[in-house]
Amino acid sequence: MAKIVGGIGCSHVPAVGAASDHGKTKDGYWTPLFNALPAARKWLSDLKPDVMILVYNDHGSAFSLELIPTFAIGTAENFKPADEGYGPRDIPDVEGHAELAWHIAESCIMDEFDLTIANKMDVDHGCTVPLTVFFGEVEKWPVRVIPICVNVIQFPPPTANRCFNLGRAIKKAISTFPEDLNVVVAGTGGMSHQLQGERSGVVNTEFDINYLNQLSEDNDKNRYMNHIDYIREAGSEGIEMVMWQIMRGAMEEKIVEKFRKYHVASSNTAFGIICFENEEA
Amino acid sequence: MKKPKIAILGLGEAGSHFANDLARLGYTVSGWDPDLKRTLDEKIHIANNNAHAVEDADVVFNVNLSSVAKSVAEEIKHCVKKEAIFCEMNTSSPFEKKEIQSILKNECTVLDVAIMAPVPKAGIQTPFLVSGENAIAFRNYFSELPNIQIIEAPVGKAAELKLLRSIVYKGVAAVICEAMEVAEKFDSVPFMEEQISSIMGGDKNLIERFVEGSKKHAIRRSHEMEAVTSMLKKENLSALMSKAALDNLSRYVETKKDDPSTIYEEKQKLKKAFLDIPGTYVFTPDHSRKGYELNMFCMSLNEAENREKFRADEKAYVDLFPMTEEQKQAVLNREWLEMLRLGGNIYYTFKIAIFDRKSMQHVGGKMSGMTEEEFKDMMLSGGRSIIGNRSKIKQSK
Repeated sequence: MAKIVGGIGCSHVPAVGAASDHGKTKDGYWTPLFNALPAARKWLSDLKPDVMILVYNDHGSAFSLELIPTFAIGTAENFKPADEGYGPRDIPDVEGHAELAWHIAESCIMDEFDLTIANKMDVDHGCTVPLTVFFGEVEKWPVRVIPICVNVIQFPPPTANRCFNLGRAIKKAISTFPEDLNVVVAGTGGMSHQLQGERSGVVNTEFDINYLNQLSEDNDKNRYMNHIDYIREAGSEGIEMVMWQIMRGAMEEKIVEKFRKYHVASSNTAFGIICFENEEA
Repeated sequence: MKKPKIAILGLGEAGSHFANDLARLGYTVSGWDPDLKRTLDEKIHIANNNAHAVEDADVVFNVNLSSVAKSVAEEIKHCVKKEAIFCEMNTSSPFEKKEIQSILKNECTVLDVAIMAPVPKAGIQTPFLVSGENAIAFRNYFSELPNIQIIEAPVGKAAELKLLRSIVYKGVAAVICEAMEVAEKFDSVPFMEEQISSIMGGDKNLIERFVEGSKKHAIRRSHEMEAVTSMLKKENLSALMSKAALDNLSRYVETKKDDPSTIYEEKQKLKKAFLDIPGTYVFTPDHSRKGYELNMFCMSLNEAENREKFRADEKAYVDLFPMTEEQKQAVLNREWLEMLRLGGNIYYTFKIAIFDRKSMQHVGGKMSGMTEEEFKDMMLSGGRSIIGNRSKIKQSK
């Protein structure tokens, strides 16, 4: 049977991908972040993951305002890095796991979570920057990836609670997939940041630290927080953190923190990465 | 003793009863509610916001949903009189009440006031349990009210006792709800009513109050039971029954959501709240419709071929898109804020910056009146502070 072996929350700041792509990870600006990552990468590779469910949002790459799916699951065998205006990132293609992806789509829809099915979907920095964070510069990504794309740009995005419940539905689906697979679920985006307007650059460290702590200690606070509080406290783009709730919902009630790094700032954003395993029964 | 001036924040069921009763007893009452629906005595002064409402008050009643209690405390922080007493009356957990006390610790005295029975029956004469330093001030102010009980304990104790009571009250209510629902299905309502009455006395009306009350106040009571379960969890105690009571209430919350007016109200509330966040252009449906063509123009720059066309002749290229003249000008002049005002979304308009090989810090600086360097330095030293940047209402104070 497939099994969820780990959960990760992680920012997906484009500049982090660019720093890696352009050999800047040893520059002073970037060392506080990149020097912290080997421990997380070791933890992850020790889990021997076969598949990663990677929850992220598209930033006007695969989707535009023409079509705005709230939740879309990538069921393809292969996903190309998107051209976000710089030309596509020079990284390996993302290989999917069509069979598990279709199984999840089918199970979730029968469970009344109507996912949009995407057979062709270029993946932008939302998906590929976390892969760089998790695995560094590689010839080939060491896991297959099922991208789940969430609308957090057009209001209203799904509520944090809705995301949490989708995580639960995904967990149910995975537990009934017959093949023995180690699955890691990653919720990405955040942490506090605002790119737009006169308030651009806002960072709320207190909020972020509470959010990280509450993931294991009292996640109901994160789960039942409404949109307005996310935006007011964590910035208009901080709303991305609702996607971490999909990861949280896919994990068991009791989880154990294995790694954490919080750093201000990566470009305009408070960067956070946190890793969990389910508590042994 | 002279009657104190009262401010009531939150004029829903409980707040409006308190306000009307106090006004009739001759108190000067002001108040505010973002979404006022109740009829109020004409002597009551309705302020423009929470902060204005508390300005002259000797006693402040905070009677909102526990979910907003903290932000209300933040809002009034700099406006409340030093000698005022702030009565936190929401059904929050003891922990949350203490948090509110710490928000206001240098501003005024905070008391923990727990409302111990349904309000509509007795209004301001509803039993109150009061804890906190100087809780006696509450009784002194309201010596004519018969049902005030003072506990000599810090803020949080009254809340704690109320939650303990809720284990019984809401737990019993849940059992009665289930029993009556089942009885109806099994065509045995009178039988079940008899069973319930034989255990706890009362009659049909009491049973109905339990059932209807659970449905009507499902949202508030489910918050209350969440507070109970989290309190028990913190102490590592079993919360089996309380969780079941919470699940039962959640069922009614779901049904309540089915009511079209609930969703509509929620939508209106969000709309208002978004406008209150300073320097932020939330990408709402209205915004999206206004900016559709502008954003789709930006989207076109994802393709190398289009970028070349735009580079060759910007004016000619923007003319290919059915944008308004204002939108075109804003694009050609790289007026980043103006683009947002005209419906642009930053993820789309940033594609123009990518085209220009400009960074997000450059754009952020342009939008907030800083140079790119200044903006970068601000980010490196921890970002723009959230303090003073949460709410326009608070900024104006």
